[in-house]
Amino acid sequence: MRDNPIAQAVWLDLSGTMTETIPISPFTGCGPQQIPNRVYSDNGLYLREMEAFFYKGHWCYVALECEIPNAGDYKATMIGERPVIVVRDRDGSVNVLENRCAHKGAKFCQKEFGNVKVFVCPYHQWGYRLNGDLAGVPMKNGVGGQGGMDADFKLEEHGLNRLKVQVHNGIVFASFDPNVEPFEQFVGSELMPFFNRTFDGRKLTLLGYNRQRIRGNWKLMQENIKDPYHPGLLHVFFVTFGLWRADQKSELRIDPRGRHAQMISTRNAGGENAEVTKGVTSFKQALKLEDPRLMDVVQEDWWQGPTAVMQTIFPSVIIQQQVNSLSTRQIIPQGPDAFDFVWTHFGFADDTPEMTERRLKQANLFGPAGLVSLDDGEVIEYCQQATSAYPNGECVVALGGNDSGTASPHMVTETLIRGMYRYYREALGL
Amino acid sequence: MSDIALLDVLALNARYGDALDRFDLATWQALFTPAAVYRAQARENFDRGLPLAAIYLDGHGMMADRITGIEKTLVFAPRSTRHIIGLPVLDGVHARTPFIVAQTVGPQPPEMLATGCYHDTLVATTEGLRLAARNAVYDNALIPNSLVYPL
Repeated sequence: MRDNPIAQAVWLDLSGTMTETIPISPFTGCGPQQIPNRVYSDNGLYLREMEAFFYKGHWCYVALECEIPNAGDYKATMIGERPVIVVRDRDGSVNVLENRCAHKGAKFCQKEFGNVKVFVCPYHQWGYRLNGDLAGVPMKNGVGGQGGMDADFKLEEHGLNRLKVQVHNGIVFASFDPNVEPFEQFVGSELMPFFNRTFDGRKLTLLGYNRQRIRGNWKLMQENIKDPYHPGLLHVFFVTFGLWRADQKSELRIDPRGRHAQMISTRNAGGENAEVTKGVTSFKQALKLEDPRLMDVVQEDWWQGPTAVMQTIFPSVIIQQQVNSLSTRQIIPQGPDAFDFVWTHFGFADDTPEMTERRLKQANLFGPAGLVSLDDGEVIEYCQQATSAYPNGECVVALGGNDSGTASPHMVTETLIRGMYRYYREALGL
Repeated sequence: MSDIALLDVLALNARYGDALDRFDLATWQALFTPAAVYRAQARENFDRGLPLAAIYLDGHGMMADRITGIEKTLVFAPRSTRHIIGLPVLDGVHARTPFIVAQTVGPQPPEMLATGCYHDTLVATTEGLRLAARNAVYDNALIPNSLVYPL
């Protein structure tokens, strides 16, 4: 463990006597294996992240199409800290609109789900079509010849800001950035095959939501799902029941810029293997399920082998396939010290009732109460508690080498996290 | 179908909250019939007819597995909970009962973990009144990080 003396000195200097903004970096002196604690708690960095990652240059997850099947169906959600609405238009297309009245800036849509013909802001009843166009405003032409808008007030100049939208085989992404790169290029050719393995055009069905507020920096969750080091150690439930072990067949993929990743693995039989369980104090050999229906795994043809594919699409979402359990996990930052984590569980329209039941039972492993995922929310808070208290300290991600993010045929590496911070430093000029 | 006595329901709920707040999970489990279904489900799912629950335990076996998870495998900061269970509205063998669960995690001040309503199916057994089904429907979709113990 070390503190970073160079970055600390520069930072103190900046916050003390200097008045001009100069390009300094908390990463000063850091190689690929070091992460300065300040990235988890500094509000200035946080605001730059919102701008650079959530509002520019990236596609952010907003919905599954099956959440808004009919014309007029909408879902209110967030991109970064900004409220948006995802709505099905009359022609079947999907629009993503700012949830911000063009008049007084009210977050006019307060319900999370619903169906409307037009959106009406309750404050002064400005009405918007499903594509965001302003349909009308009360008293535009005055009352009794008095007041009203100027003659040059044009409805078409006061619509809701409309985001760029990508509907890809049932999953919906949006971007505030009109110049964002094409979606498939954003995800990358390395990752598209496994992305399309789940989202191959089959109709999805919505099973429901879990939501939790984790009092940790949002990047810690991205790191958690880029970290194949921890599952076999932290998640005793996983280890014991053979869902995740360091000796299982596995592969890590990463896009060339280091943003997104996939951890791909194939389950083995469980039980003891001397090499991976020796010295792992969390391993409990004696455990077995009283009711095996909790983990009644049935192979699905579309898996084509791997039993788990965990994808991080930077910055906004994690896409989970763990055996028969499928979910998107949306990251909604709430300042540098917390984020909301929204789980949307889904299945496929051709699932049998038995398969739906299986997905619902396996959901016991995930979410805020999950026999596996609960561990993650807890340790992320532990990380936040100490990194924020020691802002000049550093974390070290040395497992598997000194590279800055490469694909790997095994899981004994933190390369995906190094890749994310390579991208982070490039994108923020740090 | 015989009517359920209000006092018996009150006693059952008192034992339920007491068992959970003392972390006596075996007693908690014993308040259910062997084939009972326990759910802790966000109200947004319940109201919209979406089947997902944060905890979904179908019978004593799964309840026992959840207990094993809590006691042997899960990693979480030490905490205490306090169930405050209100008065039930009875309708035949069904009951709706409001609850709040406060929690205290480590050295932090207490916070609200959940507010909601139990939707129960009750059954009289030779050992007393038992839960044949309980869905703890919580209003706050957002859980403050972790839901370790059942609501």
